[in-house]
Amino acid sequence: MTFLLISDGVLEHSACWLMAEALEQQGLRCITAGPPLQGHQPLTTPAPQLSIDLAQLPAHPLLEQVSAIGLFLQNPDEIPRFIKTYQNLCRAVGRTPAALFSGPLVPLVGDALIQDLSLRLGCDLLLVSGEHQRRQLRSLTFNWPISLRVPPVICTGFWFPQDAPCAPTQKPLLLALIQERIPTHMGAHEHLLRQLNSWARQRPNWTVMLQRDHSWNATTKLMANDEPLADNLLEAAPGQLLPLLGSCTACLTVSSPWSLAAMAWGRIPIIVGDYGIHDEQNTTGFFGCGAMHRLRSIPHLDAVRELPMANQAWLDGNGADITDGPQRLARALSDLALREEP
Amino acid sequence: MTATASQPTLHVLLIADSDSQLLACEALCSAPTALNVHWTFSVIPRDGTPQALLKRLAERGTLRHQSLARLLRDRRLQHFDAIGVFLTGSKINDIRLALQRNRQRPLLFCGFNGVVLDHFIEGVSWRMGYDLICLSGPRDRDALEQLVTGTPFAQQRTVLTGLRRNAPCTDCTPLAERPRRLVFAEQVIMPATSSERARLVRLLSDLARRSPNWDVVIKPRIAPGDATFHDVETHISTTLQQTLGVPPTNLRLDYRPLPVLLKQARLLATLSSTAFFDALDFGCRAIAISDLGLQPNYGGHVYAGSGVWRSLEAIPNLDALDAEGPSPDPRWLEWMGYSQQFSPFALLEALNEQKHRTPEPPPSRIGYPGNAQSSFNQLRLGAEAAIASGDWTSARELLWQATMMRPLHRGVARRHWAVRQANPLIRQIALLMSYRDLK
Repeated sequence: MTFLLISDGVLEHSACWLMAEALEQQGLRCITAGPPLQGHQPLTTPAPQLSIDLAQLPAHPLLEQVSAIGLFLQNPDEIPRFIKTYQNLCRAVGRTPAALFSGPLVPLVGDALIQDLSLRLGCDLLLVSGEHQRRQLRSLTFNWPISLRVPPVICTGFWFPQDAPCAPTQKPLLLALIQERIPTHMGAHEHLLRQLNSWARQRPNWTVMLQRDHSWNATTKLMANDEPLADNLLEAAPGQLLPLLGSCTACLTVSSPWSLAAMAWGRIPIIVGDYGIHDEQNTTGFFGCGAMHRLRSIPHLDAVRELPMANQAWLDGNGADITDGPQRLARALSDLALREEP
Repeated sequence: MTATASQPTLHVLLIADSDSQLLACEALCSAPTALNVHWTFSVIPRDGTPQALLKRLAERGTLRHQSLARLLRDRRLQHFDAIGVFLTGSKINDIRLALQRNRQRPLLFCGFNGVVLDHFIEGVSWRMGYDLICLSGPRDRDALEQLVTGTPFAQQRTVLTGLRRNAPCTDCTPLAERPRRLVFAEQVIMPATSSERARLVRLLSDLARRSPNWDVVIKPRIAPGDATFHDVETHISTTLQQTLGVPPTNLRLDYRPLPVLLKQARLLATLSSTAFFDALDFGCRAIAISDLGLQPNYGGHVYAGSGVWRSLEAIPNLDALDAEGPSPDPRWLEWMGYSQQFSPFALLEALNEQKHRTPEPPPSRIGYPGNAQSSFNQLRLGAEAAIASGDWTSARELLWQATMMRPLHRGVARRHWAVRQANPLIRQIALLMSYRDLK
């Protein structure tokens, strides 16, 4: 079996690279493909083996050589378009299309989960992170007619490495994962950064690192120039997300999915609860995580050490207890191939 | 079931504002029960609340009109056995926080209005901590259990009250004797975009043309000028004119109450879940429109399992659909909560059983703040903490965010003005004048 893994964002590239490595260890061949990334990235990932624009990919001759295609795109709205183009091209030349598998990589719940599924219905196999997602999908698709063709669903766990790349530093480090569009309230972003600056100033023995979880431009600064910055408040250099997640004492975010890595690696998580549990803040998925705190409830950084770890049952339900994701994927694809043999 | 003087008595207050919430209250107090229930309705005044509905409620119990602030200060609240809150989001939470301060207090319950098509997690997070949450059926219970399992909210009590809003229909004409009429029950935000609304009108018009011996009736959700919970950009009457110019003669608008129309129609087509289940109550066949695809925000994923998720475009004509006799899958109906076994009777029984117990305080554990005191209230409380410590930058920031969220809130606007004053004396006076106890 030869797999083609297509991705277009930094999280997706990194997930595909890990997946390819694990599949190759099982003796399966894997090719990664996708567009090169622009700007600074929060983590370093090897470039895809085939560097190509997504629009050109469905017609690429490589697709004739592979038995399964994994689609991991930042914007799931692109998925139905890709599937349609690819399947139409296959039909036009009388070729059987390769099995298509896809999934949101990060754990989704409720509206986001069903919205995501509605865009991936053309796939042959759906990947979700944990048992919680699979159970929710079972309920959300209750009694659906066969004509809607819900693909088989498998849980493959988290998209990042199971083990932290390094141990926490001796000196305390707070890693703040800064999201591009969240919190959405006007001025809330600035307020959050001001709070981090104020905490840093109060406790010089701590280091506060501001780490974007998305790509950025070299000229854009996180903090306004007129703000006097604490010496121990730093903006992370490109490519440092994973080592910083490994070395931090605590990890703070409103709803960055990368906070799950901090949780899974046993770092103290702080999900900022000031913006409530709302779909538009992507915080609904953190209901029950046991790590949601209001900024006001943390008087200073030393108090962070007293905060609890994430709710393990919640974390496991979202995929932390799955350690053999790529093996599950290979098995499911091979079952699919057997079923489709004449 | 009829109540007698010897039966236990329950004094229940229902608090609601919008018309759809008031309709939910009306359905609740129409449920048959062996208990003597004295109903009081506290209606938070809103422009455009239908007078007919208020009149019907006044016939069922005591009707009061009170603002939320006045209501929460009303000492008579303590005299009720139970208070049901049928409001939206943060207001549900505000009332719980205000009333749960007293150890001796009425039981508090709340519910969802009909089928929850989306935002369930948000909705549940506002409702956590109520003594009882009313849910429609096994679908909602399953979703809530999945959410709270393994969390401090795992013991949250719920009761299934079903989706039947109307008493069994005794005056309904048998289906075969009804005129050949299809009712389309409009929703103001489903579909939301003007192109989708126009498409729907066009589909209805085409179906009317293919079915000349039928009447196709559009029932607007509201009359022009009436208010509902959602903002209406273009009234359906305008969409009809702008889309069709001249509609077919057998397609028209009808503003009569939906129950009246449903009792005189053979078929209903809709995206509205309340209209869908009302139709079943009144013996009218219902289909859910699938032409807009599986759009979860329009409930496509819910209706997909109904067995009657149908494309208007694919229906040859209404005679063919009528002859087919579409009827929802019983398994799906039960999953949703449309079954004899689920009714508001269960709520009244639960309230009666619990009324002498001291209500338990909601679970409070670090790391699980839910939506309590979040967003708007949270910003105000945060600003007060900043004022107390003289952190004027944060206070200005937080109150500015709060004014962004509720630009018409006068209390927040005054407080925001106060913290912006550079002169300490003026600022202090302004702070004293704008002070409100938020706890």
